[in-house]
Amino acid sequence: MKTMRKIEFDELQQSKRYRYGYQSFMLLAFLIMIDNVFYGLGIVWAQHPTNTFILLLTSFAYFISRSIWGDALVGPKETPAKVRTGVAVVVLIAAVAAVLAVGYISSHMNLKLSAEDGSGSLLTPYCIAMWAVIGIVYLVKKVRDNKMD
Amino acid sequence: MQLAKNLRLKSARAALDMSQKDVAEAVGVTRQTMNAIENGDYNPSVNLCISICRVLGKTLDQLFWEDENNENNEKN
Repeated sequence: MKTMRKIEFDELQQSKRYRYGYQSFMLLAFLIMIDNVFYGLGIVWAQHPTNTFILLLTSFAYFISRSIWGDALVGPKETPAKVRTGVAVVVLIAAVAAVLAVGYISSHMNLKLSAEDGSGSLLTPYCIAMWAVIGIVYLVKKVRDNKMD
Repeated sequence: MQLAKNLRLKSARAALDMSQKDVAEAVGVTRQTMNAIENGDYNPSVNLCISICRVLGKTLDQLFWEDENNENNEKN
């Protein structure tokens, strides 16, 4: 029977990931608390559940960026070629799925991609910005590592 | 507590003409982890210490035991 391949991290990477995970969780908890305080004061910067999604994405982006910066994103047995192939396959599948979904929705259903209250228009640029930040962190780290080597 | 640089590990590795990457691959950790151990930024587990010793053909005492003689040698 074929079992799911487990990504193995070394002990330093594991300890870093536990630390970053804890930090991300605390960040999320504090952001939600601050958001609730704003809501209580009558300041609504985004409708529910868009605000929660954005806070979740923020803590997710923090975890990924910290993992990249701390060399704890991929395990020692993952070669760069394997990682690149894996990422390329996932991005390709996601892109094809997105195009098919958008095509199907726009042609068969009378739905709008953005919510009536404009929440969708806030979430989309935020997602793009989040991936851009992760990409920039990755590039800066790569340049820094090359200089140090 | 800041650990001292492990120069004995570095010299044992250099004596075998191995890079940090070579040792890291043999032990099953990342090069950054080996670098952190050599620089004293990370205190490895006993299992990892034993693996490193096996790869470099040294004993735990020779690479990781800290006494006054070793500390003085590393400072000089």
